[in-house]
Amino acid sequence: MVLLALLLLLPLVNIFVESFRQYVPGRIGGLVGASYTLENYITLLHPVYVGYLVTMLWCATAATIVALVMGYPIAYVIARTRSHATRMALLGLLVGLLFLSALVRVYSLELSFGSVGLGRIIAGLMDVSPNSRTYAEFLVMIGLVHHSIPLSALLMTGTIQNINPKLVEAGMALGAPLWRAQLSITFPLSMPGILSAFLVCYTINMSAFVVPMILGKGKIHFLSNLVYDRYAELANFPSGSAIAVQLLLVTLIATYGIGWLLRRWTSEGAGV
Amino acid sequence: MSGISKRKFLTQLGAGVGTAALFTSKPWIRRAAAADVTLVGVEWGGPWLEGAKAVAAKQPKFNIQWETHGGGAAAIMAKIKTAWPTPLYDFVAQFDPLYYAWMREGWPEPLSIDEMPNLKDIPAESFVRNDKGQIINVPISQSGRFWGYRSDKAPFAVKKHEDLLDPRLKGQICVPDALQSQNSMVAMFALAFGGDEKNMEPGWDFMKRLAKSGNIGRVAKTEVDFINSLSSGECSVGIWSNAAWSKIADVGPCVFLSRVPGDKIFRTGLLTEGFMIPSNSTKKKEAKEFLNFFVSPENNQLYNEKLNFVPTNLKSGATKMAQNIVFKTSEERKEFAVVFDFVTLGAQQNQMTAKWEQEITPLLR
Repeated sequence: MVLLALLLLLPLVNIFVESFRQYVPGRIGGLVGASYTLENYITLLHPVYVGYLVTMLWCATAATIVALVMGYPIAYVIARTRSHATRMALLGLLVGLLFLSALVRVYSLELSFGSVGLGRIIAGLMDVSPNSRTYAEFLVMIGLVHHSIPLSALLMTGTIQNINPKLVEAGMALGAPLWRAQLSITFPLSMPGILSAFLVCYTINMSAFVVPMILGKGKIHFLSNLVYDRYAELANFPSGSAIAVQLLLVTLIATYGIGWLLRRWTSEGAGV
Repeated sequence: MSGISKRKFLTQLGAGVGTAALFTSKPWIRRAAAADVTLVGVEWGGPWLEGAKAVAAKQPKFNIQWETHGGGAAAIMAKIKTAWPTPLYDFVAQFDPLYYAWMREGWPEPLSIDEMPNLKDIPAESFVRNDKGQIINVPISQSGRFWGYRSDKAPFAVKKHEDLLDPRLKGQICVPDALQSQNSMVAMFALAFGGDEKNMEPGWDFMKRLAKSGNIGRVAKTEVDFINSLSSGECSVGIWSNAAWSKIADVGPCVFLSRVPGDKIFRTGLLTEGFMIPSNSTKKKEAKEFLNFFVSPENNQLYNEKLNFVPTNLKSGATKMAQNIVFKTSEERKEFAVVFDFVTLGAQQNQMTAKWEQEITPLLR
């Protein structure tokens, strides 16, 4: 408990206190000893910063949902593979993807889906330029989905594996087609896994830094990018801390709020 | 009988041979073992570090433990400040805008030509002085930022700054954001349209026109971003330093707009990079001795060959690529080069970044 307080709570408290300090341009960090201020938080109410927040929420939400939709069939195939060796190999492949350097993956996406790769074709279908803001947003989502799919598949595999396949057989024996049986039996029973995958992928996507920095082409900013600029380039720790606190609160509210809604939906659906 | 078994003898012999092999196999191990003193220095990565290591390898007296800047040059200042007065580094690479930030914190160790005789071969205007008139930096290179384009990728030959707004360049321009070199790109725009570092509005107006035009394909956060963008062909026109352009020129033919007669935007913004010694270093004397060695004519030349920057030592030679930013006469320098007021720009950096986030980024299409 003491270790948790020291390593987790103390830095968070430091950041929280720093977010109320005044900043003198050209100096390093907040002005110690001066009166505290709400200025750093008031600045975040500017429509532009609200816009950055909305863009981040939109990209993270859309990418998480797509990752879940694409990860579910992967998880199902792995869970239902009869051969233990094949299942281990597929799981190993997913885990191996997570070990690949994130920077290498992002740069490979930039080249593959950028204006020198498939970007011209895809952007052409979207009727935009491959160097446009719209396409940059699309690229950021591609990056987030790419990072989320292995994680979401891994998290859902265990839950699906625990569902007895004979339940689906029983449903089909009672006359339901396979797709109906899967939708009404497997899918609801795998909801806890889907929920876990959603929460984990969503928080990771919200705090993404490298993906928007490289794939966003300087046109798409997440809150983490704004924090980085303030800490690493400007030494404006108070403003960076305020944005970090905002990011923490938004992430907590979004994940717990959506989690509560989903849990409520699943318990209503189960007639509880 | 000696009391040593055959096994023990062979083990000890093997250990001795292994240790000797280890110590003689790697140059840095030999240097470290032979060196009297270890100094901790901070340098940028890539060709900067390559150049610095090449110079350090030429002397046996000091073992240099290199640390690289992680991100912007200001990031290291946060580390130094949180640790102060505990010494972390013996010398740190910085550049024009940050010299003044260091002085505001009261960190730089004063230097003198008596202690570092090689400084006498460096032009006086390259030095930054504190309020007592003492030198606080060891200038090691002069870099320049200028516009250019890849002639094999750009839709047409860019000749004047109005061409930057040409619709044929849609999505083709890569620019730095306001955090790069203290927003010197917008400062150059300001100077071109009747403003200056204190009145940047004319520069911001042009920047907004450029952003609205849809011609900006990428806003680069780092030099690597810029190099990747232009060398891959994502963008074909941009502004960055000589070091970046030299990498791009290895990939495709480039035209450099560092000195376009009559065009006040297509000029070169000059920057001096150098080392500073924190006053809390416990090895100031040794650091001065090493840095004096670093800026000798042959070492200054060796270092700058890796970067294609201009050596600060007047007795050193510059590479062919560096000639882009060599201005031989004062008239040439006056017409084609700009040395910004980094004191003013540095004090406005926070405000300029906010302005970029609030007024420029939303216009990018």
